[in-house]
Amino acid sequence: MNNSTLLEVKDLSKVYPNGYEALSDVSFELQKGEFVCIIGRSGAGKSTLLRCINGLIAVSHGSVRVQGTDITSLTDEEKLLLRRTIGFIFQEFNLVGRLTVLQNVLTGRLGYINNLQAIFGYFGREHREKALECLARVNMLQRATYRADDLSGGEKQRVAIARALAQEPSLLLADEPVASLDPELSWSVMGDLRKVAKELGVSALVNIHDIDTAKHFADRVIGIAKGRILYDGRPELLTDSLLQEIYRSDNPAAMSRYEKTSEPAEI
Amino acid sequence: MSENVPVEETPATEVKGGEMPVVKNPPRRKYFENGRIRKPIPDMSRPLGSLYWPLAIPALLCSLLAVLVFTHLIELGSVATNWNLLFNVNVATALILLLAGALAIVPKLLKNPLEWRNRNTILSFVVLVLVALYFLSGALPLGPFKGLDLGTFTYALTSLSINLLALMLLVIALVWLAFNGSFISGLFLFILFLWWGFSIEGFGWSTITSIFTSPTGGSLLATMIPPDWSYFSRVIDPMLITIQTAIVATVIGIVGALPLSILAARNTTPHPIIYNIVRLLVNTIRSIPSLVLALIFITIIGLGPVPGAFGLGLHTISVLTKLYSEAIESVNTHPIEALSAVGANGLKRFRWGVFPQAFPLLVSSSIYYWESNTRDSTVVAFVGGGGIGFILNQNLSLLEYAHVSVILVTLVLTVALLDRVSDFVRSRVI
Repeated sequence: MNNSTLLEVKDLSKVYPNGYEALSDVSFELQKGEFVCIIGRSGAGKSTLLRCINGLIAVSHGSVRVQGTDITSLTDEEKLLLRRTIGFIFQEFNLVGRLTVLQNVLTGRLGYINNLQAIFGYFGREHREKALECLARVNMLQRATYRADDLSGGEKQRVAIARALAQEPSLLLADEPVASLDPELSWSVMGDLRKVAKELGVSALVNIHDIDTAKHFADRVIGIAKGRILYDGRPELLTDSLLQEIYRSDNPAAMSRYEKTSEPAEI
Repeated sequence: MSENVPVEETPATEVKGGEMPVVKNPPRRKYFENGRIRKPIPDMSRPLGSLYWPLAIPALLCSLLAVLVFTHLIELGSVATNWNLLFNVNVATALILLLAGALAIVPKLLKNPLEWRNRNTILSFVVLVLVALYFLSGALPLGPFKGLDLGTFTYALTSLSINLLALMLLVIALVWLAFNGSFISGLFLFILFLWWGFSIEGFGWSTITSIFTSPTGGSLLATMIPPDWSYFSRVIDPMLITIQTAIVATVIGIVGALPLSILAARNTTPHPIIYNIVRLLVNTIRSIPSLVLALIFITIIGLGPVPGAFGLGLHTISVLTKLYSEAIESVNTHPIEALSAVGANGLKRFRWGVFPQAFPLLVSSSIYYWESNTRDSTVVAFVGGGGIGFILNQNLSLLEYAHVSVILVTLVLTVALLDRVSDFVRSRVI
């Protein structure tokens, strides 16, 4: 493992107590500055994978190394310290509705202030300036005093991205960030995400279920099906047969979308 | 009701687009199976459903008998007995605790033997045994320690009314029929329940009509109008004292309820045992009426508005704890997960995730209970002094109804004003 490897996942497995195997033997590496998209069906294990990397879900077997530290061997307090450097963007935005946009971005700095300051809501000058800078980066400064639940979907996701950036992370994890947005807006938000990641030199691991978006924005694509990695490489080399394999449903008689070219559907 | 109603032969149905399905061979149903009455297959084409005779006939019989027995049209007499029920309350409590705990814990352990080593199970077990031993030590001296002595329970039954016994048996039969699906039984039980409620001593048509025809009623209302407005100047100060009492009580309630509610909410409590203990304590205090709590404090401290405020405050703590903890439990967990991903510890997650979401509900509960406390402190002042209830009591006893109407008008206006103020504050905060 050389110095530019930010994330190293080795033989990761997650088995739930009822026996359901969400991930089996997942291994890959992430270099500094890479923008990687993970594609796969709903329920293939993409969200589980991201949450295992973050430590939000306990791993059954395997190791996750973030800049050399194995997250599976940390205590809860140490995990919290490590999570400061990992930004997470959720599909449902997960903002606190009653707080303003600026307060939501400031919650990204909660890992850097002590308990007493957090209770009284005292964020020092550098924290506030950092939050405003992140808001400016996603073009949401004009909405800084609005309540978070008064915004539209795309604006909320931008605020969530600003919150993740305010942590000054070295790694960005995004769990289907554009799934709830319309196609035009989703490309716009993905463009913002990639631009910001490249500007700040932050590596990103993004779950996408739309293959065209992934092919357009990713440096590298990882395909997951039923908890296993089926493809790990450049997006141009992704063949249709591989796509069919990744997106194959459990019903063998069903026609896959990637089998036929765009023809009108049967009645 | 379970859906599985096995029939002997499956009916052959044919559906011709748009027609009702015609059942060719109606199944011969078995009415009794495994000792229970089979639940009826609903016949949805009939307006009220069909009558299911194995349930309907016993239900009607039992209902008829129950009516005859309840109204004493059949008099079965009574038997003189000399039964005495005597047991030591300490021993009984200890045994009940151990039994309840065993019933709760043992089936789980039998299902999953690994639970024996779980920290929660061992802790609950130890706490249960300790509490049971505490109660036992009240009765039998266990070493140097002597717990609270709860005395001996005695109940002497001198005569047993056979009518009552017959009624209880019939009610049990009706309940069993109702659980097996008989609508008639359920309906009749409900009617019997209401009938029993209304057979209160003195309830009758004459008491209802006496509201309108009573001689004292008319003259009372006549003296209340016109109100004696010269009394108003004497009403202002007690009214202010009542409002002050309410403020003190509510603030005591809020300050006490905030930490307790965090312990009593399932998602923020540090340990399930603490959760159960706090909930039990708060529910016990809540079941004592606020007036009784105020009276207890008046007995301890003396007369005046302050003990009333303390009593109401204690009651407010218990009610607000329940309301606050429900608000905390109803919070959306997704933003909390986001804060966990940011690296915030439990305290920060509470302050920035749980508290902002629960805040509107906390404020509206508090303001609602402040209004409620204002009305309650009127009643408390009735018995304790120092407030508008006190002069209300005085004037009622002296039959000065013209003054009473002034007091009532002031009270109504004050509550209406408080209502407006609280609406305004709530609209600005939420």
